[in-house]
Amino acid sequence: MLLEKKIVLVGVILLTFSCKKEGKITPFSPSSITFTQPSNFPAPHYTFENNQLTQEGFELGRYLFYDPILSLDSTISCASCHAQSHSFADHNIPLSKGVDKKFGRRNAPALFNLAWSTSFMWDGGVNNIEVQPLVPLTSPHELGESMTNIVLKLNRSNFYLTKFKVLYGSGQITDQHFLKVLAQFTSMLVSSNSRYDQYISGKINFTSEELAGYALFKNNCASCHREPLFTDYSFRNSGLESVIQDSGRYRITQNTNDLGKFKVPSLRNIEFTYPYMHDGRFTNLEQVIAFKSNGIKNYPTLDPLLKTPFAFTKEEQKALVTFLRSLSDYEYTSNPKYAEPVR
Amino acid sequence: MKTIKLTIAAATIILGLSACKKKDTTPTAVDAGTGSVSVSLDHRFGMMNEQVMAIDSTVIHPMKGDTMTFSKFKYFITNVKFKKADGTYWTENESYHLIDLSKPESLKLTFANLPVANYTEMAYTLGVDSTRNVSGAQTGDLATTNDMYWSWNSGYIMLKAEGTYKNNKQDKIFAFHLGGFSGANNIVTKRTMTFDGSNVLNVTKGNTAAISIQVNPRLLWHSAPSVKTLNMIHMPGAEAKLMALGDGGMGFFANQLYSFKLISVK
Ligand code: HEC
Ligand code: HEC
Repeated sequence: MLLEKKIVLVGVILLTFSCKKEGKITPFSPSSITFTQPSNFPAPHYTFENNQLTQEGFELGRYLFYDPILSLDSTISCASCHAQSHSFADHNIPLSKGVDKKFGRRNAPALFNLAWSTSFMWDGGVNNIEVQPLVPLTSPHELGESMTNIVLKLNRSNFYLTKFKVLYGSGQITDQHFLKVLAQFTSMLVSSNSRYDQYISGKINFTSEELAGYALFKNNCASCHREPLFTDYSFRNSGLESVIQDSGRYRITQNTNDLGKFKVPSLRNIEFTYPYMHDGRFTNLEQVIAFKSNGIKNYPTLDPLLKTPFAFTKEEQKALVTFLRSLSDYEYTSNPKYAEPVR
Repeated sequence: MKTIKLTIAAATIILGLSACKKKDTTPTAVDAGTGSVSVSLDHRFGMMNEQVMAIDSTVIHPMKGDTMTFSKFKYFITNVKFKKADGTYWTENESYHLIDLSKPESLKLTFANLPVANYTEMAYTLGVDSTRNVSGAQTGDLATTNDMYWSWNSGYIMLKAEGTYKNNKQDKIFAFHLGGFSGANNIVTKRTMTFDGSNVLNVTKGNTAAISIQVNPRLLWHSAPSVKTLNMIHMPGAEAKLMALGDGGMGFFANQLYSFKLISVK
């Protein structure tokens, strides 16, 4: 580890000085960092191709994530609706308020392990993490800004001009650079140190109730909430309504087979992110499990796996909830790397 | 993990060592030189291109009879290539051009450093290829600040036509945002324009060959109904396809005969 760092350093220094002879001064070059793939995780979907990961880029993304400069009236930042203490979900409210003081349509999801996600938003309408911020930035119910104006505001800030210049060597901040560094921060949000992960890697033992819950989970839930990410990123109708209120995936595909389908959410850190479902209708895990057990409503697009009620006993429901709590990663919600930076 | 880090470390060193390697000075084959090509786009309306189309001026649709005033008219011409008489192509790098009727400078495209040769064809695409629609944040004419990108349903708006039309003497608004890059919704269209007869495209050393084209968007409403019936499109799908591709290839993107007419090559 230390040795590698030193080698990189030597390289960087060489890079910096190797052109001296010709009298050119190469600008300070930012320090590369690597994306660490947890040992029990598959390879990530986002590979930082065309977005060279650097310490400075990540930090810059972090500043931006916490900066209300991004909203129309400088009152709201990404972190207003995505709080670290809640695994970057909103502060336990069903729907979020934006600059217009009006509620949006859907529950703000927790943010973690986004580098593995194949699409974004409940309906999967966004196809790349770099362009995801365009939705909250330009939505009147969220930050209510225009990209042109954000770029203008950033270019007026000496703080950001200096930091972007270090990275891109240009005296002008572009929307592309802004979106790339924001993606460096969001895609580096990795949560992989829950009790479940410690159990899988043999560091701890599960209690007998956790074991019972895990067994039930593997039999009934894991085909959609697939381990180790606890989602397979597919779109499914999980039986919330018999009269569709929010058309879900249909809004993107206009295919009636997609009516009422939503992206299967990961269940990691689920304990911190209540209320639940795309509209925040359930306030606790007991309600969710009771629904999954006996409350599933029929609809033509209902997922075939859910057609027969699970009809779990009270003990089974309790065991499932206990297992879900083993997915909490306290290191993640308190990791200073992801916290609001001081300026 | 460790090997990746070491590789990066090693790569950094190599970069460091080689950063100042002198430029390769081996002379290339005898250089016949290069020239440029310019393409001017003159926007027209009507059956015979007889109506001049400009921002805030009024035109009448020859088939539907709609009286329309455009406040915005923007679209993408991309992936431009010129075919030489020997069958090989000169391909423009990062070839993405946003044509914006309100910006005169966008109505003339210039291609520099084409090898001296006789060119028989220009190949180009209307719309933005699927790769750029799924590859995250782009720059230049593809930047999100150009307002040609759908945030909630990722992808480029490949043609944007906004303005007003007359309905019983009243001004009503229309807004057509056309896009779609995948599957059944794909409207991205590859096209060609041939240079022959009196229109020979000869690129000579140090000179600019000037191509003049008339662009007529009336075919947007060839298969699509009158703006009085359909005045808004805000996502990819059947309606966008009707305007861009049309029935029997009679849409603005699909039709090779009427949408882009070669006027002269000088
Ligand atoms: C007003 C509250 C609000 C603000 C501000 C906000 N978001 Fe969100 N965010 C949401 C909601 C609600 C959703 C889900 C929307 C949907 O699915 O339709 C969401 C979804 C997301 C997702 C998708 C997660 C997934 O797994 O699909 C990401 C990533 C995200 N937001 C990042 C950001 C970033 C970065 C910013 C700042 C530029 C930001 N958000 C600002 C409320 C907010
Ligand atoms: C057919 C696929 C499928 C199966 C099987 C399934 N789920 Fe889900 N689950 C979903 C979908 C889809 C959602 C999101 C629904 C929505 O909000 O519209 C969801 C939501 C949840 C949520 C709320 C997540 C959040 O962040 O709001 C929990 C908790 C949950 N499921 C637990 C379970 C458990 C426990 C089981 C097994 C008993 C299970 N699920 C089986 C598809 C499935």
